[in-house]
Amino acid sequence: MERETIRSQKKLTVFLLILFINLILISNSVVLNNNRSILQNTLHLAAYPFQAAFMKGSDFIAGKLRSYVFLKNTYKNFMGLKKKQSVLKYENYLLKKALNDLDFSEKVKKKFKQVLIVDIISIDSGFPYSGAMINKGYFSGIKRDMVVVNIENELVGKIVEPISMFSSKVRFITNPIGGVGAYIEKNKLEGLLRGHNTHSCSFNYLMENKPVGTGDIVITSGTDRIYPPYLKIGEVIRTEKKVLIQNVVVKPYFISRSIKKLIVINND
Amino acid sequence: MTKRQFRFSLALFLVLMQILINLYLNELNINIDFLFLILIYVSSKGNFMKSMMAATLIGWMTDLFNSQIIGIFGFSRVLIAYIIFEIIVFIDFKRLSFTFLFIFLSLSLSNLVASLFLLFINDYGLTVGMIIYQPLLTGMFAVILVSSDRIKEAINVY
Repeated sequence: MERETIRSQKKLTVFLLILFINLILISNSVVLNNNRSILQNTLHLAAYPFQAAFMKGSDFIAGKLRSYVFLKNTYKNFMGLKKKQSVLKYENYLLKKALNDLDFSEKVKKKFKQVLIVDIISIDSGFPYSGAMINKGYFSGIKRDMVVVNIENELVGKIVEPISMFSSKVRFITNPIGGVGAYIEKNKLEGLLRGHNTHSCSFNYLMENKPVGTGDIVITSGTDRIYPPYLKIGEVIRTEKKVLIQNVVVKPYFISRSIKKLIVINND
Repeated sequence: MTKRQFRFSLALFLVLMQILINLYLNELNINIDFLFLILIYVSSKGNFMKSMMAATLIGWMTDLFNSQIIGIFGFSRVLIAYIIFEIIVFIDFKRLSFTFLFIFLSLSLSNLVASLFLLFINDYGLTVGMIIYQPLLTGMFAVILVSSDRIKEAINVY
């Protein structure tokens, strides 16, 4: 009896299994509105949670990896940009400096009718503070008594004989021959500045009624009719009082600067 | 020719007839399910597994010929084969009227199940041809077939 029951159960199972297989085949043939069969839809629904979990997981990992790579690249770019910024800053500084120089030249050009930029070609080694030869002569328009300043617009000297076609001589203000009409900028105390073939000059006949201190700035007065007024000459380094006059020693600015390039001004 | 060979030849003949009928269905306007007769025979022999296998194969063949959706007639034929297998002991095949009625009802029921599926899937609707005419013709053909003594002897119907 029991065996009979098991047998009939087996039969029923086989029967149901075959029916189920046929139903699966039918569901595979029936296409729904989304152009998929029922079987495909069922499989899709069954597989969807795993698919979604896998996709989200892979997206998460990919996102993290992307962020890591992005951050790494960003840091690398940042360092590169920082380096470039330093280079640009330096370049900017150089350009600004060049622009300032250019502005100066432009100002000088505006101020004076004719400006010549010259190079020093020789200096007398026995009297280095007396004068120097420059590489421009009368061919370039150089004339006697033209004023010479350095690139900072500080007085250096004037043109003297001999003047050849392609060279001429500059007499520095530290040369004992001649002199420069100058005054102390602070108190307008005026006198004649003369050189001693040394690195300094001194005032002659400077009245002692107004006090002069070290560090006071000395500028041209224009009274000598050679040098134009308001050109910076130097600063006071020593003072000594005498009867009615005072002895003031001035160190010209051009002494402590490069004089490789000079500017010759036609002061007509 | 032995009985076995005759039965095999008869089954082959029925299959060929089914193919021909389906090829020229529109021209002939006759719809007989010869394969169903094979199914009845196999199910009546009392082997459950053979019966199920035969029902499945015959159902799928019918699907190929009729609906193009594999599984509809497979399902309905397996269902009817199971029922036949369960009630076959109560059927007296010696009486032709019983044979006719049995084939008519079983094929009609099987086609009804298949038609319901088709209705659900393709909106084809129930057709009189499937539920009445085909079972009628098939039953009549079976009666004619069983009327022959040679066939009776071969399929062990006395």
